Order: sequence, then C-alpha cells, then structure tokens
Amino acid sequence: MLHVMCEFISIMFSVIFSGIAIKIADDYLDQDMDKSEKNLARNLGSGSMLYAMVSIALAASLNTSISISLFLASYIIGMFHDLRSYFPSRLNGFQESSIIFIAGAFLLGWKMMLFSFFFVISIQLIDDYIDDYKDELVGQRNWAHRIGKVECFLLFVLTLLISWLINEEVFPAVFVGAVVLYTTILYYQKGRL
Amino acid sequence: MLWTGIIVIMALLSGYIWGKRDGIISVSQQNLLSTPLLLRQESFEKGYCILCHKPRKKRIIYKIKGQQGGRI
Repeated sequence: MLHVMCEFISIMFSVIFSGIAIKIADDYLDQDMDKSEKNLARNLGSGSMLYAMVSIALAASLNTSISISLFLASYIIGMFHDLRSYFPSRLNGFQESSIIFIAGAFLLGWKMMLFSFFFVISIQLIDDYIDDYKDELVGQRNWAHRIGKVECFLLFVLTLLISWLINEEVFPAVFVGAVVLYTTILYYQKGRL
Repeated sequence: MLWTGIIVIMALLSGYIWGKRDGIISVSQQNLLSTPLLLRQESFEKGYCILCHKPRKKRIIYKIKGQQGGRI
C-alpha cells in the first residue's frame, strides 16, 4: 500500500515538475507576444531557461519515462501550428515532430509516448477552451477559436479518455498532477479568465 | 466503460459537427434567397435603393407618402 502511494506521489510530482518546465519554456517563447506581468519567464528573468532545465531534471529523476515523454509530447504539440515552417534544424515542423515522436517511442516505449501525446493534446485543448476569449482579443493561435468551442471541449474529453485507455496504470497520478499544476498556474495568473 | 465513453463522445462530436455544417449550409442557402427580397422590400419602404441611395421611380415615393401615384 505504502509503495503504491509513494509511486503515485512520485509520478504526481514528476508531472508537476515537467509541467513547470514546459510552462517556463512556453512563456519564454511567447515573451514577444505576451507582455503581461503574468509571464513566468519574464518574471524569472534571463535565467528562466535554467529553471526550466532544473525542473525537468528533477522531474526526470522522479520518473524518467513519464516526465520526458510529457516534455517531448509538448514539444510535438507546440509544433502543430508551424508544421510547414522550417526551423534551424533545416527540417519543417512536421518532420521534426515525427522524428521526435519516433525517437520518444523508441526510447520510452510507444505506449508511454502515445499516452503523453493524447494527454498533452487534452491539456492544450482545455487551455485553449478556457483562454478562447482572451486569445481572440490578443490574436494568438487558439484551437477553440479555430474549430469551435463545443468541438474543442468534446475533443478535450475524447483525447483525455483515449489517453486513459492507453495507459490506465499511470493515468490517475498524471491527471491529479496536471490538475494541481494547472489550478496553481490559474491562481498565479489570476484575472486571466 | 472507457470504450463506451469514447464512443459516446465520438458520436456527440460527429453529430454536433454534422449538425453545425448542415445548419451553416441551409442558413446560407436561405440567406441567398431571402437577401434580395429583403433588399427590395427595404428599398420600396424607404423609397430609394438602400445600396446605392439612388431614388427609385417617383411614383413609388408618392405612393409611400400616401399621395397619388403617377410619373412626373
């Protein structure tokens, strides 16, 4: 029983730490568009990426496969809006995403990679659903704005259920970790709703 | 249980998208038919074309104002 609880907590904290790393990296990339004081990378200053690296290192030391697969899945999903753009690697977004997905599946297992992929998609969709109005005003890319709010919400539920189906063992801990982190971020960014 | 949920959500999603698409098509077809009629009705009521603001036939203006019709 204790072992199960320890594993649950370690997975939960691993998700929280990798989520912090993803959030800082995302805010770092969005610095030009997001001039608000709620931007985590702006608040942390020039060392923000170092904090992100420390956070992902802590997450990886708690649970390597979950944290790294979540991080890679976030990278892939972040590319979704730029699938045809070319990056410094001289590959376009689609090629980079495919290579990272295959590498992740090879190193961490296809089940874990697929689970993380669908889980991160669901987080992205619910985030876009909540931020629909704000992103519309700012002119940021938003799935709820693109495909419709109801479709976005239904797709969120669908992808969440698919990720649950793919990996039933780790889903509860990952879900709790994600909910804790997301509500903390919402509290930190009070007033963005 | 999970499979049931997935199937239910997929059915809801496809039904919603189908209905929305159908609605958009039927509304746009309806608008194509009704817009010229509404434009004409509005123009007749105001006495001038509401797009180019040129007066319509003067008899129409007189009729609208309750006066006797007839071209000048």
